[in-house]
Amino acid sequence: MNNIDWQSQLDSPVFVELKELELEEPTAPRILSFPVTRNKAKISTYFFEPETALAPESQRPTETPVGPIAKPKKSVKSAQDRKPAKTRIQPPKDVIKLGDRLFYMLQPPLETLLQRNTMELPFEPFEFQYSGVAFLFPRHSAILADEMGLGKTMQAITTIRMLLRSGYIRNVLLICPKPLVTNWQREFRLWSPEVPVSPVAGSQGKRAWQWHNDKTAVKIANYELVVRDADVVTNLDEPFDLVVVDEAQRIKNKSSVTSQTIRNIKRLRSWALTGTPIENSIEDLFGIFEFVSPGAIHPSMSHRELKHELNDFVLRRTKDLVIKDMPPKLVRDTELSLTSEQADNYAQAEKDGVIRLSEMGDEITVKHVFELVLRLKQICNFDPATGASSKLELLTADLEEVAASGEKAIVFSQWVKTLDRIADGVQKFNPLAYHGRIPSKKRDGILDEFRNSPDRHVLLMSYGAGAVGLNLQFCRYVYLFDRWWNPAVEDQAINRAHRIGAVGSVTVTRMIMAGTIEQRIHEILDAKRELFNEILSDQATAGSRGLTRDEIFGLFNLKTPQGTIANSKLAKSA
Amino acid sequence: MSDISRNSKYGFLAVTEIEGLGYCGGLLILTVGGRPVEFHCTAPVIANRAQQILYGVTLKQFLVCDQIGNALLKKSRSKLDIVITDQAELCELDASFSFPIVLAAAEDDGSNAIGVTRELDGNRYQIIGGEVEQAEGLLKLFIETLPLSEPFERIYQAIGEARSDAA
Repeated sequence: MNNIDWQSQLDSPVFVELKELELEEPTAPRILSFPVTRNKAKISTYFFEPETALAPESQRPTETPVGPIAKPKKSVKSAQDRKPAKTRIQPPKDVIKLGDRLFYMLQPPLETLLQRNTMELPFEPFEFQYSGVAFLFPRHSAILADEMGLGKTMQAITTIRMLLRSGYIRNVLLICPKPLVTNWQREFRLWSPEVPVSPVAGSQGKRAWQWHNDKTAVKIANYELVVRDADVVTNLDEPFDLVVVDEAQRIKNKSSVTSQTIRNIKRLRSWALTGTPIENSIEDLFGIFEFVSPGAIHPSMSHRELKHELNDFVLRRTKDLVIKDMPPKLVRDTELSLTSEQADNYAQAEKDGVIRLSEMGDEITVKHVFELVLRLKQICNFDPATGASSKLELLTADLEEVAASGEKAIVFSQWVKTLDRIADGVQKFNPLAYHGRIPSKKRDGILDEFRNSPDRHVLLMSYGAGAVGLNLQFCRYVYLFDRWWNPAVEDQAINRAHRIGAVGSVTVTRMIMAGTIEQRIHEILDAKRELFNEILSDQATAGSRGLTRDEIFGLFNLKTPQGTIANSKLAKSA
Repeated sequence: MSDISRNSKYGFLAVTEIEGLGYCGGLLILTVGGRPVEFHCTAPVIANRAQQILYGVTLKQFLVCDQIGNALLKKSRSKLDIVITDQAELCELDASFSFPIVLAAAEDDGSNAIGVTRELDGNRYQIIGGEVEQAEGLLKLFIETLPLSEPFERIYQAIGEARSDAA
């Protein structure tokens, strides 16, 4: 091979053979997917109208409030002065709808509501009083059973005020004992000055007009008047949005005309105010419940069921529990000896009385024993022949000191006649009298004079007229000249002076004639007082607080017509 | 920047864990006076297995903030001026929200520190997002009436009530 050949080879075209080969597809990797889903949260939504009402929409009256509720004065309280906000409104059990329950739960603390509502209060309420308002506010059925002197009136008025201003209610009927009508008016002026209040009074025609046409936000009527006007008040076209019964122990007997009449008043809300929900027995509470929430409790309930039900309806606080800085109440039981004249008369009267009762055999009734008890108690106060009285001697001596120190005293007795006799004996202390024979229209004036006149040192009161509702916390001395049958009534009397705002310690003197019927009653009442405290602290079932039939017989170691008395304590003391 | 006024709306946002059920959230919208305007609450939200694996340590943040917090805020009918929360996990809300976010801190132990802790009338808080000046103004107005911690008590109680109702 030569060089040319090499050249020709180089110049010749290159032969390229193309060959197509089919490749196999690569195997795809297997993928597992885990989608990260976004869970859509299920949301429940509730809307409220905060500036127009404090009530859940479903429970608000459709009509606008009536009555000229004026805009109150703007609160002057600064942020620094404000009360720590911690009282929350809790829905009662009878509010079923979740939206309504949440409405109450989501409200700000009560202290804030009051502040933001520019509701000026004359005094800063105690914490327990805020709690009382928070308790009443959402409730259609409630018993505020605070011990006397804790401000049930103020709590009720403040709640009514809030409910009126929120549009929750528009017409209220307040029923109270006759002597307390003016007191309620005064308290409304103090705690709720912009809310118009109208006492129902006057001739039958005028009252009928008031019931039908008076659109005042709050009407106040006394028990007797409500019973008298039963035909009208129970047949009104429109129900009251709220009926409040003060001193509700007055309707404890459900068969009484008063109770029946009040229960027949058409109403949407029912509140009862009482310091003694159980005055004699648990039956009292059943009676009050017939007004507040008929059928909610009944005698066939077990203790546990009863307690469970009461928890949602009844709020009771005692002074010991809620007011740590309440001035002390000093109770002294002063045992006195009868004067010689009293002793002679007493012994004779008891002897004659017991013989007479014994001779009656099966004919004897409680009334007969009762008459003897009253007779003996009267002798313990004053000797019927001579007027001698150890109690009056002690009282006079004590009042010297009371008057000298510029203080004031209240003296309680169950008899007007006794009060008259005391008045004769303590003339130099310028006594004032307040009892059933004093016309109602004069009573407020008497209290004002007692409150304001430095020369008036003694107020003589009957348990019946002066035991409830009156505020006499400027008095530092209370005398129980004779004892009432029921510790609850005595407590009511004592608490006229020993209540919020008391200026100092309150000394209560319970006069007891040693070795007499008074001492025997005293021992029974003390035992009952202990029992009552135990029961109410636990809201348990109650035994009797007043004297039972057997106990009255037992005062003289008598047998009831049906048999012997099974009460060892009585047997011991009698 | 919205105006600071008595009509301002405050959103209080909280999430709580309910044992065995998951997380429940609540948004309470209040007026400056502390009165409720709206309340939104979720049913319990629980992570599925995949979420648990994939989100790892960020799972709680995902559920609390992304799943619950953002969803609740989107339900609001009111225009919110500020949102206050008591949980650091809720501070990283959707960036599209324009309101300031505030972490109300009960105690300044440093564990929740995101921003600078401030104090006003005993209320400690950190402003996380939004206009600081606007947030301060709104908080000052609210604190005149209530402490920042108070509405959270209401939310937790309301969530509990809603749960017991559903049970």
